[in-house]
Amino acid sequence: MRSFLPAVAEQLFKDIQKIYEEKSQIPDDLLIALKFVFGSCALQALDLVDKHSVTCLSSPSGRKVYQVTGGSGRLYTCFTSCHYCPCPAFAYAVLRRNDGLLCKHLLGVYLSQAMGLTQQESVSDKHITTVMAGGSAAS
Amino acid sequence: MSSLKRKKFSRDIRCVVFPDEVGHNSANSAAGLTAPSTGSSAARAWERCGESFIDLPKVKDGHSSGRTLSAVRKLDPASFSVHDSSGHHDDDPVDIAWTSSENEGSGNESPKQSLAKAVPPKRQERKRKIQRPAGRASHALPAGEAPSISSHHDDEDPLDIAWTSSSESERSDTDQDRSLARAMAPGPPERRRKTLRPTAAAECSAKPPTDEEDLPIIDSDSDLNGSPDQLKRDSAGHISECESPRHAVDGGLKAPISPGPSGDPDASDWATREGGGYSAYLNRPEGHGQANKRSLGDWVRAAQAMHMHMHTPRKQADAQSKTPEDSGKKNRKLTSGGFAERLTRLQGRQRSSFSLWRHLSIAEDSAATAVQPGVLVLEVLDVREECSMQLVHCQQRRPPGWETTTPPAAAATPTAARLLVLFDRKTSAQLRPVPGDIIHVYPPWQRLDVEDESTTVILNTHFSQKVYSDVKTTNPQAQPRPWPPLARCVPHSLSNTFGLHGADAVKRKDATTEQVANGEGVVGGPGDMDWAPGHSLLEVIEGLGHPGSVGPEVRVVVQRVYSCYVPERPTASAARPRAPPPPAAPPPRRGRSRLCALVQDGRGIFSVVQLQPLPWDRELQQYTQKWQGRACTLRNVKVVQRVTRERYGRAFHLIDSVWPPTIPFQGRGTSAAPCFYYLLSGQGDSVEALEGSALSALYLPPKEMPLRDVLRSAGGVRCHSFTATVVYASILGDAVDQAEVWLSLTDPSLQEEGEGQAEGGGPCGRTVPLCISTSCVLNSSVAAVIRSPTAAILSFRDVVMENGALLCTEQSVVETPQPDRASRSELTGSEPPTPTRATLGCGLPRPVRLDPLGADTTAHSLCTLTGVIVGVEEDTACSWPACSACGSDRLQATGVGESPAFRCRACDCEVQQPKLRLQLEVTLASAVSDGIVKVKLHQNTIQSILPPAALQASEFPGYEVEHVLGKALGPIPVVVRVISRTPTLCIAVEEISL
Repeated sequence: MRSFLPAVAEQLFKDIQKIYEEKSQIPDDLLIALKFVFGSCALQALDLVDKHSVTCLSSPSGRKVYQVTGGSGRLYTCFTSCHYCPCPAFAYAVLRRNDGLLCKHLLGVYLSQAMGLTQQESVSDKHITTVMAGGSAAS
Repeated sequence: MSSLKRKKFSRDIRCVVFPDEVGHNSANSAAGLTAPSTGSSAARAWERCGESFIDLPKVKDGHSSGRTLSAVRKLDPASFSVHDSSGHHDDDPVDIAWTSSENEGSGNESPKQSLAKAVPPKRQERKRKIQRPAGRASHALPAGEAPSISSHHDDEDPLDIAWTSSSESERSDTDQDRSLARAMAPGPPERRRKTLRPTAAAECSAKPPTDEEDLPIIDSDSDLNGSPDQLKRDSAGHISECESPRHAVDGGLKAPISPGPSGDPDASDWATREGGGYSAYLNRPEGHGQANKRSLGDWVRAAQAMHMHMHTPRKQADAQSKTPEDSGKKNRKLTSGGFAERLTRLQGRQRSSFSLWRHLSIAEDSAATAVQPGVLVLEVLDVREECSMQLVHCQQRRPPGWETTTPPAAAATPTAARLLVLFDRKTSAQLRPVPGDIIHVYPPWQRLDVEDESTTVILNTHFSQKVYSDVKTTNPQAQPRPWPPLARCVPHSLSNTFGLHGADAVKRKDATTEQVANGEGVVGGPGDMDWAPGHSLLEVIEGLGHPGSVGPEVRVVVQRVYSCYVPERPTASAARPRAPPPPAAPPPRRGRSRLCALVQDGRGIFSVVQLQPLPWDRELQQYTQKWQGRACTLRNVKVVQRVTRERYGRAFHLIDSVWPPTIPFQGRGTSAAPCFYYLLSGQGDSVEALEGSALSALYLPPKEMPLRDVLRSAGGVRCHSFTATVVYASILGDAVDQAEVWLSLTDPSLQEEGEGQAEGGGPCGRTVPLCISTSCVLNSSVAAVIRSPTAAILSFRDVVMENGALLCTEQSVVETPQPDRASRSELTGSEPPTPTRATLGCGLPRPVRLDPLGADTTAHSLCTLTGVIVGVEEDTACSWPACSACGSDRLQATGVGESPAFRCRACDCEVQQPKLRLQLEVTLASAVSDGIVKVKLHQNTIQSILPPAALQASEFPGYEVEHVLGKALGPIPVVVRVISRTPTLCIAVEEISL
């Protein structure tokens, strides 16, 4: 059976993107809808957006990867073309229990994208290789 | 079963419950048994406790019931000693706390008093014994060894409790468990609490106590403040004791407990004082305890076992979902004004409304009530689960009245809409939707149209209720129906992202990355550099949530640039807008002037930005040419105040003069004038003009008008701009820049032949008075013009005209005419209609025409006066010599004899022939009917009306009043000083020379 919830989530992101482009703000009802669909992740992800915790690393080779600074300061690497986050919440709630679509980091990435609030950072090919290979992102 | 009650006194107090006292004293159960009136039952219980300790091994099972016993112990700090001979401590402290909630005892006693009362051994004592728990704990403690607590108390004295162990030989078998140390806090009595914590091993060995062997568990919060040595003993365990509120202040258990020689942290002072019970000699002098050492390890276990079963009743978690939100999340520090903070607020509101809705929905049978508008009536068609949410395909039902009459299946109409309704975990757990159910979803639900799926999804369905009655009528056998296994969808593929990686999003990211990198905010970022109506000052400032710095750039149009005086500490006043207001005295004009700008954003919101100080006169003109009328970016400003029209109406004159705008704003009409603006504080770089930008379409330039048009303009209080000739200036103070200045202005439009009283509109004078308030900044060149006695031209911008009077406020700008007229005409957007200096020079008659004094003349206006002298103010008439060179009257008489000589102190020269200065005020019978006109005459006029002979003399001989009376005056130019119209018209004027 095909899942339908991703379509709902995608539509929400589209609406947020559209409205934020127009008004530079997210109306209350969309925030409430985010909370309804994504649960407690929404608040945490919005906090990540507020804190500009999502950075898009791009390298001269054209590779891109998202880095989300978690609440503890740890960096989580999320891929642009893959619905995955290495955080424990994703492993448990999404992968193991299928309780949610996203973790807060992934949701933060999507929201930052929708609102255009992702920080851009150009890094070397070597650095992005290290990041994508799961190495330390410290630069 | 034992239980532990937590009493809300001044400190935590837990009571011991006895099984059989419930019925006796239920009314007092909360207060404890040991009040004097109920002391007997308590004593019985204690006795039984003691007996049970003796018979402990025989008891296998038990439980307690809910009586409470509390013992107040007044313990001598010196009576207990702790000896840790072995140095062995258990890691887990024993957690037994003594609690007293006794009612007896004199709560007002000081610690010393209570101690003195407790010490005498001769007094009558009643013992209370504590049973030890049964079970495995009893095996570890042989009969006769169980510790008991004897509470001796007089009716008025606090209890003292003696712990005793009869034999020391039995202590070694439970080395691990019966660790007990006493922390003897030598601190103030209020803090004297000791805790006895169960060890882990004791916990394992604990079993429920028997019915008759209830152990009064004593528990309290520990508050250790002992010495390091005492703390060391505490590592094994400590007894905690909470005095009752009455005795809390009266000193408590102070005696340290010494571990036994076996190495266990024992209470070595436990000795039998009476019978088979254990009593602790808490009140005896130090040293006695050594003879009757007794391990308390078993007692600790027993008490710990009790502790397991006697614990504070936990608050029952409300099984019902109270809120749709997770309220138990850890507190995170959210960014102020951010999305998360907003969502938190929204959640709070939603929780409140949900609680209210739930309360109301429980209160009334919703199935019986009619469906209200806005309520979705849904028939469940299909249920599936996805990511802990239930996706329910529903058929929306519309016909009213179907709930009670029509079966759901028959009620389905082809036109009914099909919806996909999402229920979160809690809601779906309550609803348990199955196909065929009727569910009401109350507002505020949300509707989301998924474009790709052409499906309508209903979100935010917290306010949902299943209508059971329909289910029953439809399918009576299905109640309760089994919970069908829900179809669970395949998890979302990890290879599918949500498709926001388009170039559009990347482009937007690039646009805002710079501002993020600069540490600026996110709201209302500049984005593209075209004028975008989305950049609203209001949203940015209101989005702050609190007064603070506005980080993001906001595009504004600078409508006006002016300068105003600022207090000595502008930053302090800006940072503390609630600082006490300055004294009522008008602010002195002295001080630094500060650059100000009236800006307007794309939504029409105004703000006044106070910028850096202006040390030089010409800087204002430079900034005006640079900014005024152009689109600028506003950044790094602080919100000082939100100024409302209700409170500061006068501050809105300038805004009203640039309202309504020439082009309508998006999102708001132009009918209502702004009712507020923001007062912002910024620095030199807060306003920056966009390069290459021409005058904005939003800019409403100050329109220069002839004075005649200004005076005839109607429409309430407005700001006007004009250029005029200053005919006369009167400074009501010492200096121009410290006092109110009244100017008499005129221009060719008022001086034209035939103009004046009446042509077209209302009356117009040949001159018009203008007041420059002390808040208006006058630069040095303007001040020089005002001080100059000759007529000069000044340009006035945004002068407030109120009730026919012109007023220069702090937003007005007074300047000397700029030689560069080209730039000025560009700035104002129109060719100035007023004449230039050249045309003014020949346009104005010499002398300027004035209006004759009339009954409607106003103060500070110039007019001509004609009349006959009918009276002389003899009291004020006088004469005095003045320096012939400088005119100063500061002369010092130096000569003697008939030819007096003077020395002028002002110019320091000899004055041989001083000028004669005269002062004369006369009353005229003039054209003003029924009025008195008093004129302070000019020197020349006085000389003209006095006899020439009198003026020739070296010393003024005086004159007869009759020589003056009846003489005709005028027309002379005068300035009206005072006009009093009651009881009769009285006008005081002063003759001037133009």
